[in-house]
Amino acid sequence: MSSNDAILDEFLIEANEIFDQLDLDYVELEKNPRDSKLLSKIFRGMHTLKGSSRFFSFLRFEKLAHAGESLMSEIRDGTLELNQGMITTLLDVSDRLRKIIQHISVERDEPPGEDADLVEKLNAHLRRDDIAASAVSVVTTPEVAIKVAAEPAVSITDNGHSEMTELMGMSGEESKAVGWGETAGSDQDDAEQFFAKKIPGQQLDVDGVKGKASEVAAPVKVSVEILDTLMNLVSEMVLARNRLLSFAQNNTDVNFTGTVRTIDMITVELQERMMKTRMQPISHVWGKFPRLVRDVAQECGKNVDLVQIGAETELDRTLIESIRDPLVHIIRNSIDHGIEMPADRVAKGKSGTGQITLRAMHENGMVVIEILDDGAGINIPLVAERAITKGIISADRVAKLSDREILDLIFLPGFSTKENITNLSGRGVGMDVVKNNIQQIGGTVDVATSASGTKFSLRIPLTLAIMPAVFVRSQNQRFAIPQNNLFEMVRQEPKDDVPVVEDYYDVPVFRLRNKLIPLLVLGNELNQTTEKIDPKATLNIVVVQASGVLFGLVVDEVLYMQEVVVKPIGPMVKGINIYSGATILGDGRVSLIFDIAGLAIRSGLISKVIEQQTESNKDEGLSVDSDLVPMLLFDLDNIQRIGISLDAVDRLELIPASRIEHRGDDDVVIYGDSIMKLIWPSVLIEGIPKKIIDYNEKLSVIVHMHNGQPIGLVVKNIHDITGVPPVVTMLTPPQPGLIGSTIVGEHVVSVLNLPEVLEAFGMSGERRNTGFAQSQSQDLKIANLASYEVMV
Amino acid sequence: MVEDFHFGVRTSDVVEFTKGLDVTPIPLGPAIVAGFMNLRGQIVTAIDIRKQLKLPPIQITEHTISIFFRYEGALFSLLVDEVNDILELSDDDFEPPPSNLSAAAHEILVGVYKLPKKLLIILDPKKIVSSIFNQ
Repeated sequence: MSSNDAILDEFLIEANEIFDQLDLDYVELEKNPRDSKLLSKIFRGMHTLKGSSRFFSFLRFEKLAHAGESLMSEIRDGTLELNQGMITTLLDVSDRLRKIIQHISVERDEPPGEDADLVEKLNAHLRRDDIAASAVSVVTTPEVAIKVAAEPAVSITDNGHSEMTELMGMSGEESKAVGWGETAGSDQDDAEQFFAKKIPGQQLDVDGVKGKASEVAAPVKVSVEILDTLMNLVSEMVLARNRLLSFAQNNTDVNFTGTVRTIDMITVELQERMMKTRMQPISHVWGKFPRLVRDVAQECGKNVDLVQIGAETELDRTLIESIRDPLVHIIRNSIDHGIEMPADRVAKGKSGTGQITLRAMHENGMVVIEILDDGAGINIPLVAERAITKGIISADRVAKLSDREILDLIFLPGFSTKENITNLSGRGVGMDVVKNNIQQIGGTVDVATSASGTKFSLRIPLTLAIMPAVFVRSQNQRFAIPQNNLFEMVRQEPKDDVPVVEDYYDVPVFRLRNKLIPLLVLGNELNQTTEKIDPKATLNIVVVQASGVLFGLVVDEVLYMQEVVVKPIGPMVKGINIYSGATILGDGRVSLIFDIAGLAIRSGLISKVIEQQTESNKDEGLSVDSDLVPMLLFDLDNIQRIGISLDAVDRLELIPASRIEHRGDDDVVIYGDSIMKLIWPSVLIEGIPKKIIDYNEKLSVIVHMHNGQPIGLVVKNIHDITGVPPVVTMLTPPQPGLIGSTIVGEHVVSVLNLPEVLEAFGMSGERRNTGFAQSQSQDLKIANLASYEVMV
Repeated sequence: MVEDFHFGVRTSDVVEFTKGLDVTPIPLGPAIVAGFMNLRGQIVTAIDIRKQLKLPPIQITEHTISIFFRYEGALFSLLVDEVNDILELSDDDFEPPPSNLSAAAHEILVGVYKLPKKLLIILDPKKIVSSIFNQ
C-alpha cells in the first residue's frame, strides 16, 4: 500500500503545480485571449489532471476536470469565443479542484459531494447562454507582459520523492503502474508532454532568462531536510577548516600545509555552492500574485495591471516564505485603498486601469523589493486623525510631527484608516504585522507617498549564514562584529598631550583624519563596567558603520578576523536589538555577534538610525526649539561644518567610485531607475579643482531631488544633524556657494546656498521637492532624460 | 536540585543532561537567561530557574548541570546544581501543587510527588519558557 501512497503523493504534488501554472496562465489568457500556445498549454494541463484522476478513481474530480477540459477544448479549437465570465468560471473550477486535492492529501480519498453548480456554469458557457457577458477586455495600457522567471534549477519540496520522469524511464511494466498511461495512449503522451514541460529551457514563454536555466539539464527534487543537514555540515566544515588553518600557519611541513591549502580551496567552493542551493528566485513568491491582483481587483470593481520586474532576483529560501504575507498584504492594500475606481481615475486624468509594479533587485548585499502603485496615495491628514482617534498618539504630539513621521504611524499596531473594514484588508492587523515580519528577518520597510501613488520599499539582507567577522574583547568576553559593518580599525595613541577623546555636545568623539567620529565604549554599553575612558590613554577603536553612519567602538582588544557561521539566537533574546546572532568558535564556546545598527540605536547615539531618509528631529543633544532650522552638516576639503537644509536632503549615500560613469563633462551614477548627476560643491565653494578619484574609494554623497531628478553632492564627510539658528551672518568677503555663517554651540557653521550651487552646475528653475518621483512610466522618464541633457 | 529545593522534571520532557558545559553570558539580556550554550553545534538558551523562583542567581561551576529540552523547535536548558536520581513514581503519590505558592510558581509547576522524606516539586520546563515569553 505504501508504494501507492508514494504515487498518490506524487499526483498531489504535480496537481498543485498544475494549478499554480494554470493560475498564471488564465490571467495571461485574459490579456491575450487568442494566444494559441497558451490555450493548448492550459488544455493540456486540464487533460493531464483528468487523466491522472481517473487512475485513482477520483470520480468527482474527474467529472469536474472533464467538464473544464471540454470547455477549454472548444475555446482552443476556436469554436467558442473566450470571455471574462468563462475565465472566472474556469478559475473557480481550478479552485474547487484544488480544494478536492487538499482533502485528498489529508484523507487520502475524495470528499463526497457534487460540483453540479460549476458543471452547470460550464455547460451554460458551452451553450453560449452567456454571450451577454463582457468580452475579455483587451488591455489598452502599455503591454506589460508579466515577466515570469525561468524555473529554478533546483525545485524543493517537502517530501523526498524523486521526480516522476525517473519513474517514467523505468521498465514498461512499472511505468504502467505509475499509471498516467493506463487509459488511452494519448493520455500517456500528454503526461509525457507535461513532464517535458518541467525541463527548463524548452518551454520558456519568457523574456530572456534562458541563460541560467539552460545550464542545468533537468531539475532534481531534494527534500528540505536533506538540504538543511547539508548546510549544517558545510558550516561545521567551515569552522573545522578555520581551526586547521590556524594550525597550518605555524607549520613548516610543506606536505601538511599543501594539503591544508587544498582542503581550504575545496571548502570555499563547497560553501559557495551550498549557499547557491539555498537561493531561490523571488518569482516563487510572485507566482501567485497575478491571480491575486486579478481577483482582488475584480472584487473591488477596479482595473489593475501587475508588472513584475526582476522576478529572477534570488534570495535565501528561508526568507521567501517570510516575505510572502507582507507582500500580499501590501498589494491588497494598494488595490483596495490605494488605486481609485476607474471613473475617479479618468476624472483625475489618470488611465482607467491602475498599475502595481513589483520590482526586485540586489543592492549592497540586500534584496530590495519595491511595490509601487499609481493610486491616490496615502491621505496623511487622515492618518494623523486616525492615530488620534485610536488613542495611539496625542493631538499636540501629532502637531509636531513632520509628514514623514505621520506616515510612519501606519506601522503602529491597531491602525487602520478605512471606515468600513473590508474583509480584504484594513482590519488594523495590517502594516504593523508587515513591518514586524520584515524586521524579524532583519529587514526594513519604508513608505513614500504622493497623489500619484505610493511606494513601499522592503530591504532585506541576503542571509548568508556564513560571514566574515572581526572579533574583539570587551572585559573577559569575546564578541564578533560583522565585516560588512567594519570601516576601519584604529589604535589611537595620545600625541603630544593632545587627548585622544574630545567632547562634542556630551558625546565623546575622536578624530579620524579630520573626521569627528562619535565613540561608544563597549564595556559601558554592555553594562559590564562603569569605568569611563581615560582621554589620555591609548585606545583600541573599531570604527564601524551602520546605514551610512560612522561611529567608533572602544574595545579592550582587537583579536582576529574569522569567518563564522551565524546561528539564530532565538526570540527570547531578539528583543534586545544589539545582537544579530551567535556563533560557535573553534574551542566550542559561543560568541555573540553584534547588530551594529541596533547598538547605535540602543546607545542613543543616534535616536533613529539615518537610513536612507532623514529625520527632522533628534531626541538628545538637540534642542526641540522650533526656531532652529534642522540642517545636515558636512565637510568639504578645507571648510568644515557646512550646513544644508534638511528639507533639501533626500538621502545620504556612500557610493563606490567604481560606479561613476562619464557622460561628456559630467560624472553620473545609476541611481535606482534614474541617473544621478554628481557635482562637487568644493569646486565652487573652495575653488579647488575636482580631485582625481581613486577607483576603490567610496564617496559620501548627499542626494538632493531637483525637479524630480536626483543630484548628488559629493562631500568629504557627513557629520550629523543639528539645529541651526535662522539668523546668519553674511561672510566678508562673500564666499561663492555659501549664504553666510552662524554659531552653533562652540563651532562655526556655514550655510550652503543650494540654488547657487545648483545653478553653477547648470541646473536652474528649482521647484519645491514634492517628495516622490513622478510617474514611473517609460515615456516620462525618457522625456526627463532628454530635457536633462539639454539643460546641461 | 536547586539551592535546597528538590525539583523534578519528567524524563519525557528531557532530551539529555550534561555537566560542566560553558555558558556564554548575554550582556543586556533578560535576567532569567543565564546565557547561551553549545550543544553539538546548536545554540541553546540556558535558563536560570533561580530567577523564576526569586532566588539569588546561579554560580556556574564545572559541577553545574544543564538539563536540555526542546520547546517549539528551539533548544533550551535548565541550569541546576545537582541531579540526584531518576525515579519512577506512581500516580498515586502525585498531587496538584499546594495553593500557598506564588502565582509565578504555579505557572511552572505540574504538581508534587510525596516522597518518603520530602516533597518533590515537578516542573514543566516548557511552561518555564512560555511564561518568560509572556512576561
